Amino acid sequence: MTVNKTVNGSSAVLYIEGWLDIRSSSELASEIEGLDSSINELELDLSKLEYISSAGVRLVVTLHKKYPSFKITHASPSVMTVLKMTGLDKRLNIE
Amino acid sequence: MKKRGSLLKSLIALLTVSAALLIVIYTATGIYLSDAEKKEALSSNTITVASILQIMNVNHQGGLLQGSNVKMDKVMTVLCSNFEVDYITAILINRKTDEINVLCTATSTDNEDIFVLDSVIEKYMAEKSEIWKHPEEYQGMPAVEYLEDMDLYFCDFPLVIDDDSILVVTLEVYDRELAHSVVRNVMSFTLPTLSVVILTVAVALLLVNFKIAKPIRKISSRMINFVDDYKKNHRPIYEKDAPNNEIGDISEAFNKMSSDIEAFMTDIDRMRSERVAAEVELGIARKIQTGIVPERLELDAGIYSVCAAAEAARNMGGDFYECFRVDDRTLCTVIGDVSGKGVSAAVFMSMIKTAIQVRLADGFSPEATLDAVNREVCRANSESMFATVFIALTDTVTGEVNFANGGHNPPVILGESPRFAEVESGTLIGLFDTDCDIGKGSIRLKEGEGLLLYTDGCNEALDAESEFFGTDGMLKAIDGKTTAKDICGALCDAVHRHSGSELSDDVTVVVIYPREQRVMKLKPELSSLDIINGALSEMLGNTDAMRSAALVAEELFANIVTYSGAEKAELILSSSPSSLKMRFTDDGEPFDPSSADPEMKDPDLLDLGGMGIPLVRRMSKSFSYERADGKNIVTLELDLSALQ
Repeated sequence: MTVNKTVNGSSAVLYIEGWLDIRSSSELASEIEGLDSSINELELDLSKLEYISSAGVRLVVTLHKKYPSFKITHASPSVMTVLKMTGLDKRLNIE
Repeated sequence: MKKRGSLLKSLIALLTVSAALLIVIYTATGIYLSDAEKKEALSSNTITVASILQIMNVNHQGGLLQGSNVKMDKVMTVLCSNFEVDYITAILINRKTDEINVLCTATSTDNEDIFVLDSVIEKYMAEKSEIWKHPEEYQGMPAVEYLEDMDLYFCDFPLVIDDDSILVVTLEVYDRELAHSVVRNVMSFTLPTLSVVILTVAVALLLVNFKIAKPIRKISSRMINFVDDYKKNHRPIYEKDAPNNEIGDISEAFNKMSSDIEAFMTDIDRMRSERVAAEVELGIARKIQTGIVPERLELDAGIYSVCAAAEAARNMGGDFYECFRVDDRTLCTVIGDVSGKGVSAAVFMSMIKTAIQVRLADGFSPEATLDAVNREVCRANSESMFATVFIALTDTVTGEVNFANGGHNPPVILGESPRFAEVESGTLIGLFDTDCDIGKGSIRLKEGEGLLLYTDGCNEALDAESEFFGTDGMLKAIDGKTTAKDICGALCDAVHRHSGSELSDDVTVVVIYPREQRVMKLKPELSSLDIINGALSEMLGNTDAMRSAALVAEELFANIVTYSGAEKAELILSSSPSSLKMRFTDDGEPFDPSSADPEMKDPDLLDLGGMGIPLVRRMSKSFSYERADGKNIVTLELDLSALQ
């Protein structure tokens, strides 16, 4: 998994690429920990994410609770399938 | 055929040209003798004639030869014709009196100028008389002069007869006569010779034409039109006796060859029509057979996958097979080979195959099926056809195989060391109504073992040297193959390689083999996920199915790593074209994931975890847990076709 980020004032976009499994989820978690505390608007661009496991889903729910404004964009069909199975598609802001 | 000239014509042309050339050469050399040559000839002839006359002792008295009764003029006439001159004149000159007397003039032909000549000579001699008085001064070759008024070449030579008398001998030749004599020579000698040669050659050419060229033309025209004239009655080249020479040999050889060829062509015609009929029949047989026996079949049944292949030989041997699932855990496979070939074999095969299928579908055991089919076939089998049949019912969970055998080849038990099973062979189906002894028995396939059914088209496949492929060849061909498909393909390919361009008999192969399996010993740590993902990627490629399988594997394996405290873990993957089985084993604390709440929690609580098992359940076709030998065993199956 690789992460690219763009920060613009209080909003940030993370471009996540590759596999988000139990191991890379903790990497991503610490990456987000390192973001400036003033950021209250977070977007995860998943256009290049191929795979997500329950560990990744857990992180997404955590971020959803942490950031007042949180959204997921460009999720691929296979990632969407997992999100739907967990019922998150109805709860999260997914574009 | 290309238009060619005649041999005869070219020879005639050649002959004409050479004859003309010869005539031209001869004539030219004759007619164009130079003046000097003419004069030299005349000059030397004059000396010769004079010498002859001297030797003959000419005297001055009346021209009589001394001691001879031959008249001088007779001698000179003969000399005239011998030396081809027109005149010879002998003139006696008296040195004392200066009297000139023409002794004699001889001529070879009727030259009327003889008297004119005499006077001319006399006059001429008178002019030269001073010279003749001193003949000793006369040396060298006599001069030739030309008398213009008579168109005459003239040469004289003096002979001293006695003190008083000089005899002057003169030779005279007309200019035209000199030329004519040469031409006459040519004509008289060359032309007859040439004519004889030309005549001989002409006769030879006619002979060549009639005896050689004509028969050859006839033979070549027969050859050209041979196919057009085929089936007409060929007359021999010679109606009666052929000439007793090489042409006769050729024409007889041609007659023999053409009758041989006609006989062959008739044979070929007959074979062609027979072959067309046979091809039509084979076409029907092929349609029946390929309609009933598919060339390829793949099937999953429990822990096994099945791969079957059938290839018909050109003349259709009557092989058949059948594979189907009787119920969830029973696989039925049938293989058979019908006696004979062509349409009758195909029809008989379809009858037997249908009869077997009906019985098995009705729940008959393999043995009862064969028994019933045998009786049914025997009732109406006027052609005494028969079949070998092997039926196997396989429990796809336990590997127990119940079989019945009607004279078929023993199957091969596949595994690490493939071997031929020892089975009762039983009697052939269709031959004995009452006394039929069906072979029966069971085989227990151990883990990793499979079953290979085949027809004798495999082991008895013949190569160019008529060597059998053999049972050893079969075992060698499948060595190291680990899937039903690979085993089936490798065996068929090897039989093909052995047979060369054309199969000697139908080849049918049915392989029952455990699905592709991978056994992985894993350390219970998260880095082992790379090993699992690598294996899945090799088996399924970079597909959605692979990512789904990876998700399921990650959830279960993460549970083992995180909660069980296991020291050893193992994953067995077995795949078939349509499904993937996973079996996780670990030696950790007893934990039954199947007892976990199958329902997904409220999304707001998902940050606390607990969604792994519900995800796994949703994605798998089956999911089970057991605790055995102090180990947790989780087994699940993914439906790959639903995950594409």
